[in-house]
Amino acid sequence: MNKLFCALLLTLVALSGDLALSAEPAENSKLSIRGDRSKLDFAGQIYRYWGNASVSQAGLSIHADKIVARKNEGGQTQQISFSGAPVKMEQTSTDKAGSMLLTAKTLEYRVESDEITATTEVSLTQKQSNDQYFNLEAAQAHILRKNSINLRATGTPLKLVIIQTGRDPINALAEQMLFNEATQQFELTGGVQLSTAREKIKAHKILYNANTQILQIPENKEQQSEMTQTIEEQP
Amino acid sequence: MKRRNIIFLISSLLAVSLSLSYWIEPLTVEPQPLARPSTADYFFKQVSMKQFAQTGELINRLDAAQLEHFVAQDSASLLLPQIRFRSKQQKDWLISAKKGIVNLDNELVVLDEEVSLESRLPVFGKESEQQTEQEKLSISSSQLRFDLSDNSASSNKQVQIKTPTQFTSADAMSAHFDLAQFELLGNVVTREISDE
Repeated sequence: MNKLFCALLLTLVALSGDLALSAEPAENSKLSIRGDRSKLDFAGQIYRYWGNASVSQAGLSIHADKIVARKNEGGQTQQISFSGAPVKMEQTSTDKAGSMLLTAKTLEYRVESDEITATTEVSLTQKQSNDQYFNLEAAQAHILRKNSINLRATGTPLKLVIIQTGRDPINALAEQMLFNEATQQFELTGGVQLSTAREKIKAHKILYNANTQILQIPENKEQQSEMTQTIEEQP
Repeated sequence: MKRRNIIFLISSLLAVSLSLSYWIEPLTVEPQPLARPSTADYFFKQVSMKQFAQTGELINRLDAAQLEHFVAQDSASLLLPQIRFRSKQQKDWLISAKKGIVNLDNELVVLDEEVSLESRLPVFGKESEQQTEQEKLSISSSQLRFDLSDNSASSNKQVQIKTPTQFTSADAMSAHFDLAQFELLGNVVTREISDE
């Protein structure tokens, strides 16, 4: 009888745990904004937050000194502006394998389209796994979060470092970079200078796929590509 | 001789017992007048106070189930007070609480217990303008100071503000109803409410 009671109790405990866990993602998917103080302007539909201000939603958290949230006519949050020294953004993927850490002076989050634009002193680390990640320093980064991350960054120049286990780090300078998280494709354009331990490449455009580890230089009739390879001397 | 001694002894004992009984007897205390339950000089039941502008327009209206005026404080305690007013944004408001105190000199009302503020209500006996669902706004707190002179309010207790799409809580609030602006202090949290 006691055993039966214990089994029933354990089942109930397990069920309540499952229920609590299943309720969590739904709660997390809602947008929440925090701050030490705030000014809500219902006439202008603008909410302002100061001091340890933060926004969190479904694996995304953004910390800033000041947050300004603008509402649409329906009262829903339409656009959130962040400023700070710096603004810190952390994005964790749903499977928790990948993550993105970004810092910048200012950041704009368009909630409906799930787009983020970071400007001024942008520093970004995109981690695919522990042994594969890239660091980016740019003047501006535009992130589209729908399904997977699509990133467009610009700089004069921007600096990119790709780290992959078993391979030399890839260092690159360019004016623009496109990155697709789903395909792991990098597209660097504008005065691209890419270097590894062995090669140095100069081109207008370079494509690199981190999954296949294939590097492509598309043909450009207006600009020649240049590759310098350092060959180690045999002893 | 013996008999005289006995009589003397008995009379002495009697005298001692009588004198003691005089001192032991409890003092009779004059009944003190009972403390009055209040020092109110007047009170009203189902009271309604209305404030009009020079143009004749009704500015605000304060209703209560009971009003009791205190001479010493020159203020009045209110039971189930309700304040109705129209902000400069042409939004009608109803503030209600379990009890309150009004100071008629400086037009300050301190509301206490289950304070609730709601927009979107017909005020002054006529239907307010058609209000959209998004404009619904309700505020609750345990205490609120409302200034009738400029339609402003403040609370140093926890405040909860609810709109159809969002729920905001904070440790304190300062509100300017004419500007539709609310300043919140301490642990401000705004959460989106899911569509139901």
